[in-house]
Amino acid sequence: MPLVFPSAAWASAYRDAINANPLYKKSAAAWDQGAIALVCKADAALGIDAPQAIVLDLHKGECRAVDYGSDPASLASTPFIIEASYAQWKSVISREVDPIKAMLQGQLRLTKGHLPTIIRDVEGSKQLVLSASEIDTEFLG
Amino acid sequence: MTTDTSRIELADNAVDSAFAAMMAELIRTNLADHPHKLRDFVRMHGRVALVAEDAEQTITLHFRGGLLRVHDGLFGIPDLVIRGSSEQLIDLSRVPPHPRFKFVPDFRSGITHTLARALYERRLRISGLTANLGLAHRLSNVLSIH
Repeated sequence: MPLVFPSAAWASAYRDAINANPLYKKSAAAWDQGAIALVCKADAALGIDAPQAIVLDLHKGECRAVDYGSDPASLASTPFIIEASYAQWKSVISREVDPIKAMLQGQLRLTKGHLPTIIRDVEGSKQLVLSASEIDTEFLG
Repeated sequence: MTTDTSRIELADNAVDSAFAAMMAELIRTNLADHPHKLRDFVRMHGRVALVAEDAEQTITLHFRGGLLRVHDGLFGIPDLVIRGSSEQLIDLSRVPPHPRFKFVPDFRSGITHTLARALYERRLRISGLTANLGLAHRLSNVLSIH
């Protein structure tokens, strides 16, 4: 059954998809820089009244936990935040656009975090995003 | 030697360019994290155009001896032009230096192999290299996250 993006159920499936991705496990084996939050901007037309964050607790090729919510306080201690509009997340999750290309075009923005660290682990970041495409997803609108 | 990173700025036409902002931030952070790179940065003079062909984005890095202004699109006549995919342009900053000879890339690295193959197959192209070897070498140093 398709899971609505974004939702707690989708976030939970995302954790499972990341942990089932052998390329993520390999490429992010050295990652020890903490959590990454994927934030979907508010979009009133789609009924998303506040930004929605999926916070991934990542460590050495594994997603240890996932948190889903709209409380900005949950992002205060998150070292990396990647933000995009709903339409842009939809494009990336659907593999219509490459995540690195999307960053250069400003569709995905690293709004918090040390850029060289993300670049050093760019293959892991790419696999992280590509893991999302494995989820049977129902999009709003 | 100062580590004042306010010497890196976006041109007025680049404030909305994610690519320009990303490269400015990358070089600013690299200089802050590795102050020895400032030696190369202050010696850089010239214009480098980076063309991300798949993303249809072009920026020009204009180095003026310790000052860098990043422009959206082509600005003037570039000394170096680097054309490739978004991934290849990002990978340029990931090439590790040789463990003993820091001025050359580590040819054992997978990233170095990938980029060398892309150059050979002309999926990655660098114009103006032979006339601007010094600028190219210093560029690789200030772009490098290592």
